Amino acid sequence: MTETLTKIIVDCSTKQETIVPLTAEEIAQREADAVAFAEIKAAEEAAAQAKAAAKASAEAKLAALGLTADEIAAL
Amino acid sequence: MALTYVAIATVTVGSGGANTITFNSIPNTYTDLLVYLSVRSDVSGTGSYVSARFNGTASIYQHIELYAENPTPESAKDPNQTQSYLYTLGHCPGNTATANTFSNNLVYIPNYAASNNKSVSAEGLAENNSSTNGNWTVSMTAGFASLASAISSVTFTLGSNASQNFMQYSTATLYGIENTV
Repeated sequence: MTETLTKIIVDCSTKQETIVPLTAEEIAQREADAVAFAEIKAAEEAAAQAKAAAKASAEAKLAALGLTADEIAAL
Repeated sequence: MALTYVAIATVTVGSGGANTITFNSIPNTYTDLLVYLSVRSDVSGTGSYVSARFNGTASIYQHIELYAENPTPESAKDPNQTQSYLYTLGHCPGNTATANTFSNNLVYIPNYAASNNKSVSAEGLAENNSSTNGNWTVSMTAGFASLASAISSVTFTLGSNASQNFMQYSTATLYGIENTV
């Protein structure tokens, strides 16, 4: 990252607001957090895609048995 | 708004943007905390996610989320108490969403000063003038933090890219909720 990342800190006891650059440690933590978040979202999306694929497969099998689209949707 | 809502502090992001927003030295004299956010991410995309960390503590969070970004609602959860942030406290527009659209996010933290683990509820809308699936999101989240000390600090961040910033005019307001009028 080349841009300077900043944080806004509000001290609720004084209402004072300060804007300061993130430290190297904070940037490293943000990057680690982002990787962890991306992994969670990827797992969620993979699970959703697998569920959708299983649903489509089941619907195709039901259709092959002679159920209409309305009957499948009513299940 | 009820008299029991006390505005503790508010932030409006300036022209340079901000990577994180932190409320420090939160008094422990209220019953609950409520944060309203109206934010937009500078990420190149139509949407991002609002996340939070309490007292700077990582790896104590879990959440379950019900969301919709198309006509079929979906859900997601992570039951492991190892999340470094409390993820997905609502969604927000990204920088290619309709110009000047911002999110509506509400984060409620009951009994924040108690010496028990903390529960959190949140809801969020990623505003966007689009009929395309995935270009808008509505969500509700139940969160948990394995944190047995009072919450004195809350930090908000965005999404899956560490360099994402809150854009100018994003706002966050922290309210204390009193149980007496």
